[in-house]
Amino acid sequence: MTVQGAAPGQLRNLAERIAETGAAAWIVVLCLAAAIGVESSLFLSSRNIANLLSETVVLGLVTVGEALVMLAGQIDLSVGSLASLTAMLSAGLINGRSDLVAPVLLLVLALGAVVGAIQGTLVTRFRVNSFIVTLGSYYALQGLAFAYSQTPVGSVPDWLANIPYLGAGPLPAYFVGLLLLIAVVSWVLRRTVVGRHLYAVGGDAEVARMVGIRARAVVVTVFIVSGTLAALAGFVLTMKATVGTPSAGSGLELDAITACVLGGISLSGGRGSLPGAVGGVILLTLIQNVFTLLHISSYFHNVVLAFVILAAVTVFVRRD
Amino acid sequence: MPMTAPAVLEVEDLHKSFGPVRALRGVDFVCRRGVVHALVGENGAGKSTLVGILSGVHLPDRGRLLVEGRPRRFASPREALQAGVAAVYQEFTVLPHLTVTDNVLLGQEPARWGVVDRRRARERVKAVLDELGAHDIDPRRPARTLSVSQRQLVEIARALTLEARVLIMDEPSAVLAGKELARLFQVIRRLAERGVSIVYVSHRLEEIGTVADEITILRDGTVVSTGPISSYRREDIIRQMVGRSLRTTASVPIEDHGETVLSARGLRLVPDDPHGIDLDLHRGEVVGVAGLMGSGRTRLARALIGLVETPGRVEVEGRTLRQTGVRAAARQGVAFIPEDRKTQGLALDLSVEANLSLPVVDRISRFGVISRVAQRGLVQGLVRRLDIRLASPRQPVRSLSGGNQQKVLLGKWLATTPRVLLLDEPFRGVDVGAKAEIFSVLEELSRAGMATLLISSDLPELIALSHRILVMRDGRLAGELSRAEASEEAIMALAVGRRDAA
Repeated sequence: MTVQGAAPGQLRNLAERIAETGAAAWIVVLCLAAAIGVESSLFLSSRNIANLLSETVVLGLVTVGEALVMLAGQIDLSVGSLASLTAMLSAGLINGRSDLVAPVLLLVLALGAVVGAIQGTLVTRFRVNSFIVTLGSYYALQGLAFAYSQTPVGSVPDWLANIPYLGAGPLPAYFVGLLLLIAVVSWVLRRTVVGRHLYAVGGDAEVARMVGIRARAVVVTVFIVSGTLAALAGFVLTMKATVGTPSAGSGLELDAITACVLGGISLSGGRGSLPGAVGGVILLTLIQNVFTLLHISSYFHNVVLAFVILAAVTVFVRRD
Repeated sequence: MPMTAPAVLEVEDLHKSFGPVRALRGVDFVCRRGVVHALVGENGAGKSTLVGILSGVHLPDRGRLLVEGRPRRFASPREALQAGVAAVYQEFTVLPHLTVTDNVLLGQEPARWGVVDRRRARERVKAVLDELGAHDIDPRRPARTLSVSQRQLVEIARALTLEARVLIMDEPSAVLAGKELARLFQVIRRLAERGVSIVYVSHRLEEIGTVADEITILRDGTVVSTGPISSYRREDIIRQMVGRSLRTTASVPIEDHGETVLSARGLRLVPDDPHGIDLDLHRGEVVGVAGLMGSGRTRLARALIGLVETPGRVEVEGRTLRQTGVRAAARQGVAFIPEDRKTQGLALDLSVEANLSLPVVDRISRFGVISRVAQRGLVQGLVRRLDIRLASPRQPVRSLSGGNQQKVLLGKWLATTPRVLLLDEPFRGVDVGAKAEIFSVLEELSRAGMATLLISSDLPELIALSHRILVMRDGRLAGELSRAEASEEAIMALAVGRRDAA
């Protein structure tokens, strides 16, 4: 007799439908951008937009991985620490030598994949809750980053440090790279067998198992992808900072989870879309950018951010 | 016709235990090519366990499983599927947030290089839905917008696309009626003609006669008999399902019941029940409720305290029950003791003391601070009255035996001094000794004037304790039996009964 539907108000219905498509964060982004654009001419300048988009790349990479993990019904708290560690290793090992850039990049990506594989295995084979597994790696990887050095280390060749500034007008080249990655992953989610299985495992792992889906393989895969992308994010952090800092990636995991939730990805898995989460990334970066632009203390930034998140989630995110 | 067809699926001497419960004890079962083989038995006879083993959900403890003569061991449903054995499950395995198409093809999407071929997917799903006559289901709709029977059709459609050699259907008809059911039977017959073997699990003897070729009857984890359906009469099947000789029962509760304590009118549990259920409980009366799993027994009890919304009305001692919910009902004199004491009734890691005083914690505390003296008095009284065996009131409930846990659960609600007791499966998972003790507690309560609604699948116990027995089927009252009329056969006949034309 539990017939679905008939929510108390049409507005609520509309809000839920918007949330379903993952458009909620984008709507907030557009409103915010329009309001600020009217207020500050600086905001819509090509340079500021390029700057803003450039700022989204690191969080964007991490969020793509986190979104996959969350869609599969898990969570990955290790991405920030992993990015810090790989940022340190990248800068420290390259240490200004151009010929080491490619091998070190491969090395840190492999490290990210291995960390992901271990976490995925602990979650699936040993049935440890992913929150606990990745909380453990969060501490361990952060500890390793600081053990490597408490102060910034290494350096990168100039051409590498310049990459973030390449691009046309308001479009940084490596941001276009991120867009391509997002497009590919979205396509994989929507159109491939793996994508379908990912949603099924996140929706109900037991059902997925009963229809013959290899649920464990799916979960291990998303952790590997998430680890690899976090490692790449660490490399990008070093590219931008030109040195490796042990706290470079700190807080990324929470920002990524926030972006996913704002984008309509369910904390219990199986629902949501990648474009929504990308909207969440832009929204978070936008708020940061506005505060910098208006010279407001970064402490207030966090307070306002909290209100924006609560408001957006209260209005748009569906209740299960 | 297919008496001579070769065996496709065979099991020999299958054993399976879950903890102390021996679900299967040496089951032999053969399903042959192109045969619809019905599997019947009472609740707890072992049907679901057998189905679970055949479809790779459970591994057997002992015994052999052969598919087309080859020994197999299914560690997962995936392995069963690869061997050609597929199952349609009783519980819904339709994912609400995926579309119908995605649900039907889940785990077997048509694809090239890992990319889903959406056109082929749509065509295949449409073809299967057409075959099932489910023209009203749009393959693009998200499954959560479907009705319960439409979801069941999606589930069946999934099984059809598997092109399995053996198809196990666990209660596929539970929520289907009329045309949908007729169509399901057509499809099953067609599959059988194509050489697919079907294991058909159902409670409904009527439809088994229509659709099955052969039948196997399970009872208490063993096969009672097996053979062509034509050699069974309905009464034979019922008798063999029930089987056990009636145990000599405990003492008989008193007969003279007084005024009405609880009175319910028009409790409608299913939308197509025109009148709903009327029910009166008198002082000192024990009214049994029998029925198969899913027949609405628990829902009836929950409806009485407003946990299931119905248009009906419930009065306790002449006053309409206004607030709903377990706590409010307890305050108004109705205690509901749920079926699953582990998840619904008790906080297993808390002490006996804490559990017993939980519903009345207001009464034994002042300004929010619990009075230890009052609590000790309450707990000692209940422990003595129910004869709960424990080392200390401080020990966690988890450390007690099943029967004593059940008594704690009972005591917890007796503390609220109810006039009406709603008991859901109080005998499940308790040993014979504890059963007898719960028995005597209930009799004593009855003698003291408590009106009890007793839901139980343990028919001998139910018959022994109840003054009269209501039998539920498909969310309705299928009939009422007086103490003189009540027998296991009579109850089962009503419970599996003839399907209403509606």
